[in-house]
Amino acid sequence: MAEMSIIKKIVVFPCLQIFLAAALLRIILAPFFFHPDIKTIFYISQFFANGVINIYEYLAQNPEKLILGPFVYPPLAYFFFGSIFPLIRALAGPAFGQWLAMGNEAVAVPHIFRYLFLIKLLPFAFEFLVGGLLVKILKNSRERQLALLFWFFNPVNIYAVILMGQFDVVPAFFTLLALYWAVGQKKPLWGAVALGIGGAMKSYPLLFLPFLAIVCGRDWRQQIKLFILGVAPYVIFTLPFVTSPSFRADTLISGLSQRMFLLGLDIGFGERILVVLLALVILFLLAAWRSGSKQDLAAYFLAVPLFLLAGSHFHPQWLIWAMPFLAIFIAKENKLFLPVVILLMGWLGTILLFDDKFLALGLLSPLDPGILFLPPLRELLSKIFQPSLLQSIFHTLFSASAIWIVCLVVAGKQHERI
Amino acid sequence: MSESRLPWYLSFALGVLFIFLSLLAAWLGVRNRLDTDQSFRDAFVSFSPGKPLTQTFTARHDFINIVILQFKNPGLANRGEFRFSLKSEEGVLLVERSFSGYNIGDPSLVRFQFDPIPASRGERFAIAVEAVSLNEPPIGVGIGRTGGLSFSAYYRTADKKAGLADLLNNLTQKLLGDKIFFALWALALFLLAGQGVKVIRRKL
Repeated sequence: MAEMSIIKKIVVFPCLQIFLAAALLRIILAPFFFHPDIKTIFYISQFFANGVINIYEYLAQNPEKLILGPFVYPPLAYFFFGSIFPLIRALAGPAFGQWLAMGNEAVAVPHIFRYLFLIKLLPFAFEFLVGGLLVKILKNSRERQLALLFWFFNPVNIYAVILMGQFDVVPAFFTLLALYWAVGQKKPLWGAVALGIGGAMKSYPLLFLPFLAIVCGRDWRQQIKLFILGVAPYVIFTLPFVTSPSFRADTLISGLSQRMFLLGLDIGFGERILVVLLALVILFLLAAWRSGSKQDLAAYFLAVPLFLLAGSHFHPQWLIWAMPFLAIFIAKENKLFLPVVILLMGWLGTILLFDDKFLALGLLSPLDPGILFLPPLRELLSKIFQPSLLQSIFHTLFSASAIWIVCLVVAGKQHERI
Repeated sequence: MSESRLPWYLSFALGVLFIFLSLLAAWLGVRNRLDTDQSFRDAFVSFSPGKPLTQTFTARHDFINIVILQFKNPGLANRGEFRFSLKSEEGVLLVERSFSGYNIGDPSLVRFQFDPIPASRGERFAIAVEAVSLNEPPIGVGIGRTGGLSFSAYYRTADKKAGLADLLNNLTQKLLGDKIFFALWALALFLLAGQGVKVIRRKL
């Protein structure tokens, strides 16, 4: 009887219901939507199973293999996807490798639904791991449920993870793990390592590291120690490749590092004040001024990606970087609802107007490959409105609400209850 | 609304909404639908003047109007002239298009679009590509495991009603064509949706 009661409690446990309902939505949608990015990553990762370690040089020396472009992520992402490739290939069947080697428009092949479902399993698993961490981090039952509902059912996760299959949720998990270890478990050293591992998959978690070091370090010695420990995993994984010209060209100079320096105020004589960098430095100085208050860390971890995206031409999946932290704050403060709605509207309008058919109607191409003959939404819209102006309006909405949210969470008191 | 029911409502509503709106967009937006697909590619093979590579197929629909082939122009170095042709089973030339190496990527899909061929359903067609000038450095065309050209053929839908029927029919065939996946996917869907329905009913 006691056992039955425990099982019953688990089944009706509200958080479990959210996890199950989230799984249902992912199972319904995953097979029918396609974006080429994740296919390219799996195509390149298959070489790891063949024993290729330095993928950057391998592709440079074997241009006939470079049919879907270079590998632009740090080496750990390659090792990670390469390690799970044999399992996915075994489940997908013998033609999977052939499909991966096809072009971006390969949606008419038999078994396409199976392939799309399988290549999205890894991002889904990490979405659920993030959900588990949210349950661990938040103590209040209602806040847990609100955070999980937001995390699993927000438009960014649906678009970037379920429809596109982007793996940004993997480094996002490590940034949340860093917060959990540094603040919840009072193990900042582990938190720094988690950021380093995330940074070795996609560089952006390294931008969180100065904040973790300055907020969680007791004195300057520990702050430096935390910083070095956080950088270490990134250095360990990238150092063997630094001498490779292809690695330096394709990966070290990433899209993020180029785009975050584009917004500037011209002060003449060829000089510019770089606005995103300016904002990040001011945020860091604020963190240093308030150092010692570990509860602020979640606010800084939310502020960094929001500043980056507010001032840069972003990729749709980059907003995933902020979503776990936004879930925490929106669960605590109802007043964030309006700015978050404007933020998400601005984000959606911006990305749907990119000149890329795979970011809008092209996502639906597995349902009907004929969709790929249709022009991007931007081109369709250009007949009635200037798309670049409309896109700028959406990005401005996004930026305004992003900066407002940063102001609220950094200056407000919501974080004190984390 | 009970907090346990809300995620299930969200999941059902979003799932149905996304699929419905996507099908609606595909139905209303798409005019050229897939007729025949043999797009798996094993290799690229080069071809030379006077020795065309051919592939036959039997159209499943009327109004065939697009054929897509896969080419590879290594280093984008070849700027020679090439010819695509489509002939009937009797050898009657229906379509002929010249194209240049300038238009071929490394690799790329090349689309040959022409006026819809009425009464094409059940008819057998022959696709051919050949080099007009010397194919140097060689451009390759994609071939499948059986040695035939890798290609896709599309047709122009007659009207919206027929388009809807074709869309749903193609989708069903594609789903049922992978029986193992479909069975497991449907089972997972059934179990989770069943749990959702149970939670919703329990609280009512």
